[in-house]
Amino acid sequence: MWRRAAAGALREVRLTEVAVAGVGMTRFGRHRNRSFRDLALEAFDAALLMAGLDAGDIDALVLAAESDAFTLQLNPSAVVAGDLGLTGAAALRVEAGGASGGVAVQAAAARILAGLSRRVAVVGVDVTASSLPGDAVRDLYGFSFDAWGEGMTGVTATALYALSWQAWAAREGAGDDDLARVVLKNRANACLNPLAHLPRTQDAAEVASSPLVASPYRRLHCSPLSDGAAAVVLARRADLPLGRRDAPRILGMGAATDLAQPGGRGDMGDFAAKRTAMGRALDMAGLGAGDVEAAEVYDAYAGAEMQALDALGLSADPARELAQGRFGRDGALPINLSGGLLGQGAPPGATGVAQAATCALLVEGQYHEGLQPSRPPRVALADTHGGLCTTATVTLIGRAA
Amino acid sequence: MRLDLHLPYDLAPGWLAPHVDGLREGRAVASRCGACGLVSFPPRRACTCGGRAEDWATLPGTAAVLARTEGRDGAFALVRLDGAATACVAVAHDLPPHAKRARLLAATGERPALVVGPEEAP
Repeated sequence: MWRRAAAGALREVRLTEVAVAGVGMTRFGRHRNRSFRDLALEAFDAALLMAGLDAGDIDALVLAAESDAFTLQLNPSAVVAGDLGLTGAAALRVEAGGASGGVAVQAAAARILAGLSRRVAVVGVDVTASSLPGDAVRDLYGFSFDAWGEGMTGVTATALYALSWQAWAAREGAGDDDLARVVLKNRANACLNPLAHLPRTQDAAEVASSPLVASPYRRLHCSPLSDGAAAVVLARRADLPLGRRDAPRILGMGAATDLAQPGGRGDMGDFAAKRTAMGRALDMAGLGAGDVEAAEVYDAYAGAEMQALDALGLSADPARELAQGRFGRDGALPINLSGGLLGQGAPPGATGVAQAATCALLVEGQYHEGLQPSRPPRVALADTHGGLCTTATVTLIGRAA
Repeated sequence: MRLDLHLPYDLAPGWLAPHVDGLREGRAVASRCGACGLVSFPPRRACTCGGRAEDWATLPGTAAVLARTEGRDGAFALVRLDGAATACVAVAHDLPPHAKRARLLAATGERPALVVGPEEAP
């Protein structure tokens, strides 16, 4: 079916021809004795195996990696291509902070839609847990915002997210109890995800007594620094082995940006770029927010999950519906079944790729036991952002109509 | 492998030079849109109206405190400088707990940082 996309984007594209043919990921966590290249290869091999393809079938690599400061490897796409047996293929590297993986998936799909490639491997990888001391990584993350503005103050991502949450919570009447519910839900989900960084059974008192990082955020409200890789193989249906031609499709995708200086926005608590990206993805898919049946959303901090649900239009009252269990494993709209960044972990380049992988597995009915809904979602949503929702991507994955 | 890499950056502020010089001296230098006159602090090169920053405006340096956060990562505040239409995030230096007002201070460290302190500070 030919679909009409949002004005200004692709005008007429046969988007549903792009299938997520294979997915793979490493455990997220601390990998002290493994390099980012080891992790990339493990994830790629798993995705290729699931797709029923060989390295020789892949004609382009899109590598998502947030910072050369973590790997000390400039021009990493050609190096990784060599390791994966893809020398000769086109290769590009995508960087958009925490949205790197989401942007990479969309760049790969666009490449296929443009007729530039037939089968594209997307590999997301970062080693933020092991490569540098945590304080050095936090200093670098401070430059994820406007380096000549907030970056020069030494403000951390946690402090900026805390100010953003305060603005949203004041408007919505949300508080610390709601933050704790997100943490407990996502880390409990992570307990059933064998690849998760923080499978933890925590209680609200433990969250409330963890060290204060930037009020009201405490340590347990924050996602960890993780090492890890994830990969997906995208291809046109006709370019896949017979056994994978029914793989889940990309139904819609949208991206948007916001001011890099969060203080200059009209409402620092509103993830406006996410709202725009969602609108574009839904337009492209010909769907409404109510069609989404599961979502992996960008919960770098506990409050960011509720802010995301609001901006994505998935809930008119995220805090109330969270308390009612709508977003739990057995709820009507499970959110972050993987554990999200809070539970599964957060290697920035890998995060968005892992979200797409999770969505594809959920739609196929092949996700981890205990997390896979008995009726697979028809549409699953992957939501990433970089900075304080400065760069946003939304990708909808499901079965073609 | 353990590697300690020292990278002595020498970065040019470019068009932001008047603003950055102001921060080092404790002066609040904002941009003014050539089309609609909007005053932005920190400066905004492209205005929401579609115009471009064409002029600089020196503000009094006093500010309203809109929000605060503090903890292990330090103390920061969202402030709006008097005369500016936009807010910014600044280091909160010795700002009393419930202060609603603040004043821009000179950036004394290596970085040209936005720092605010008590309004009555000299």
